Amino acid sequence: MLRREGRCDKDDEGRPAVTLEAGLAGAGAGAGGGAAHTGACVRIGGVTREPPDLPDLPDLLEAAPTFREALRRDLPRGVRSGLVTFWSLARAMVPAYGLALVLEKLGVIAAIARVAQPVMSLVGLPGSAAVPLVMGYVLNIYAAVGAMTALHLSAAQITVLALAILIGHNLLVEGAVLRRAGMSGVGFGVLRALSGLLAAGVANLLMKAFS
Amino acid sequence: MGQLLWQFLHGSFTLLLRVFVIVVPMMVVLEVFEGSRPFRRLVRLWARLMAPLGMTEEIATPTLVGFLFGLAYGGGVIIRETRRRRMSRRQVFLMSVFLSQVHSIVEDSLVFVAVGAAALWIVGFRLAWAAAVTALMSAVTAAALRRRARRRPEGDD
Repeated sequence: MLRREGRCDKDDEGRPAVTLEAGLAGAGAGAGGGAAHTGACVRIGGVTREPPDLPDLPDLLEAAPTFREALRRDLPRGVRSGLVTFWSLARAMVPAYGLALVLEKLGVIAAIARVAQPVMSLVGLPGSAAVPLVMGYVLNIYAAVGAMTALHLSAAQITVLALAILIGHNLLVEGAVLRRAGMSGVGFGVLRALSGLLAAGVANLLMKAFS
Repeated sequence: MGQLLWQFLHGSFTLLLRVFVIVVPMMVVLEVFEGSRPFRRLVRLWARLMAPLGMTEEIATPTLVGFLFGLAYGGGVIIRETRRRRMSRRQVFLMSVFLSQVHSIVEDSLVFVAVGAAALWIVGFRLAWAAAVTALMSAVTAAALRRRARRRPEGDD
């Protein structure tokens, strides 16, 4: 049960693999009750160990679990894994949701929409389309769809706006999820907002060219 | 103020309930069927599609789940996988880039098709866009890694 320094601790680019924050690693011990094979080593409950000695093939076939046995073994593990994950997501989602509500009440969303109006004309959308876009950025696609239906947009405009919202939406909550995976939530928020607008602009030009 | 507090409590409850109802059963299903043959075949097919974007087979599973179920829900699987296996930062980054551009392909797309968006554009064009952005980021990070390796030949990060 040695901790292997060789291939276990290196990733495919030969760098040390990601070390996650202690809280997540601790939770992993609860969720990852089973062994996960990663190439040369076996991870059991968040600790990298030597692979266990495998029994001979006939023994292995005899010991192969039936579906019911596998279910009995995996079901509690799945439930525990689901609950740990749910708790992790809940801690990320609820504060972000509260912040979004306050921003909306303070009129920050409406102010941003006003400022964003000149940009909208660049992708072939009316200024008012900034409102569902910004609501999508801060809240979610359901809020954006609600605001979108209140506007009078052509079918092509709806498609172009839908692309921008589908690529960039719910940036606070989903940014928090990305942070949990060790990424930059702000960086990805900027990437999605810009990429969504760029995709909408390209789609707008392509649709005009093909119609 | 009281109204805002009520809205917050009610909204949080609805949000958590929706996440709970989707996340927990999905984790159970995934845990039970992860080792099954059809699932492995699907993951292998998906991995082959993702390979040109610089992704390994290991990262294909959480990417597939996020692609189908969404970043907020699929995020659970992403967090679990990055916690369980030690994956390179570059792989997690590439997955995040791809999923940030396209995720929850079924549910989200249907919502917009329902209000009149063209399905071909918001599914087909968005997929092509996501692949292009991921390929770009893949090339940029690969070049950065190569340059770092050249600057420090026996560098070990």
